[in-house]
Amino acid sequence: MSFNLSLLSKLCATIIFLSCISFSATSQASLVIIVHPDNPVTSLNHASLRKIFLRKIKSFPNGTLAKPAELNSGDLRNEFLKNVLKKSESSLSSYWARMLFSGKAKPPAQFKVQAGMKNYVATNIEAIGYIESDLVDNSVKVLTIY
Amino acid sequence: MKYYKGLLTALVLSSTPALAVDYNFGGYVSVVAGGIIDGDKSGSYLGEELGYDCPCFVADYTNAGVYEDDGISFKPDSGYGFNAQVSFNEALSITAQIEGKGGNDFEAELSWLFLRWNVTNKLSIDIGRKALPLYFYSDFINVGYAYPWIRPTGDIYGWPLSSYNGISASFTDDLGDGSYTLSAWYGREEDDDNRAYNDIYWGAESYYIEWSDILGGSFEYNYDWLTLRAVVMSNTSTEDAHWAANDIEPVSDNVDQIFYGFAALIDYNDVLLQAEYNQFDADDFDSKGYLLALGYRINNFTPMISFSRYSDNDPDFGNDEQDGHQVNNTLSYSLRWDFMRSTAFTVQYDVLTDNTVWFEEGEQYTFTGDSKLLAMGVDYVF
Repeated sequence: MSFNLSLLSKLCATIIFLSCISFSATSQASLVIIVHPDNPVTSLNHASLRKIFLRKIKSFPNGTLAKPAELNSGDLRNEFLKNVLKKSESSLSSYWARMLFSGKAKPPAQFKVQAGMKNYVATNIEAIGYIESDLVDNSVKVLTIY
Repeated sequence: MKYYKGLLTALVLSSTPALAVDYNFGGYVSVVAGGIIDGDKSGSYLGEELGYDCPCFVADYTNAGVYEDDGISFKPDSGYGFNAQVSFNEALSITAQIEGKGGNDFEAELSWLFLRWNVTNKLSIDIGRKALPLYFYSDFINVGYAYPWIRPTGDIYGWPLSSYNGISASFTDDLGDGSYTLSAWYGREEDDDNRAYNDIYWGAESYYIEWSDILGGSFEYNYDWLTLRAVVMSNTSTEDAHWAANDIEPVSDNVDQIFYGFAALIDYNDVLLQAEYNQFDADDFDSKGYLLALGYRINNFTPMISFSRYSDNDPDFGNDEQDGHQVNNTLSYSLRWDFMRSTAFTVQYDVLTDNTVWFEEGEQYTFTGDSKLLAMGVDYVF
């Protein structure tokens, strides 16, 4: 029994090791949703993330204000639109026109580069944004990996 | 002028050093050209009684934007708007919007000027001037970029007043994986020279409308690909037709009226499906309108087919035996092309069937007559 377990754990470790190698070999950095390290929120499901980034809801589930940020162009933005917001560039743009010109909400703060986004999140406890996983350090906290 | 005064107040307040003021400016421009392709030449009320060159097509009831049978026109569907939001802190902001529409000779009008107090992250209270949120697209009715057509159909979006002065409250919260917004509003509006009723229905010197005790509420539910909305509003209405300086005809005096509406929007896997219904009841007048639209997004192109219908019972256009009835059906084919960020090109072909039966001084009329309209234009937001 104990023998089987240790074999199993070795097998698991090998699989994880191999998957790490293949992960770094293809250097496919994932998109990660980040918040300030002191933000008490530890996880958000996809529906909540979508509501916060589309400003349908103004706060995190614990009630504190959420300030979403987005990149204004690039591959990571495209990936974010496709996988998180599930909207095309044109339907998102129509959506913000509706929100802005109905006085309901204005679009999130926009950043040209990931460093700007990361700095905004690292210095603002209410902020929520996204960057590539290989840029993550202890100045930000990862909520979700896509 | 009120708009600038509002901004000025904001600037004065912003000079107080303790406040971190955040400014946000936006705007939109729609340039649309259209022309009547075909239609009925005679027998319409607008042609025979009001002097329009018919067959004609009412594109914008609120501002009396009418396409006539006299070549290409840029006026009925073109317009612009500017929006400014000044936030003093997380709790307080002022929003102003001026808009101009071709039907109203592009004259700038203040459609919004309100102070918003975010009481909590879920509850906000607005005081001032805002759009009357009767229909699904009412809040941004003139922002061509915000919808897939050249215009939301006049069979529904044909209200004489579009803004009001008053107070409103809005509460938003999670509901499962979706969210909802509950809104209520109370206020009043008057217009000394109403374009919709005067230029399209009465043809007087000017037409006065006053709506008081406007009391309304709406519920909107949003989930990923689904939006549902219900609205109800009541008010009392007073209307006078001014034929000349000493000739004022009282049309109604403190008449109670009530409005109901329902809308659903589905945006699922690039399929767009929209339905909207509304009903309006006053003393001896009632009307119904609905819209059904189906579209499919293919990359940057959104083709749509839409059908809408308006019908009413109106004793003002009746005779001794029966009420008058305005009955319009509109079948529209539209194609929107999002060719640049924040910029879209839309082309739309409308086939209007006018089954109106109106009686005026012994004669029987249709409304505009059957007409076919082709319109295309560019919508831009910034």
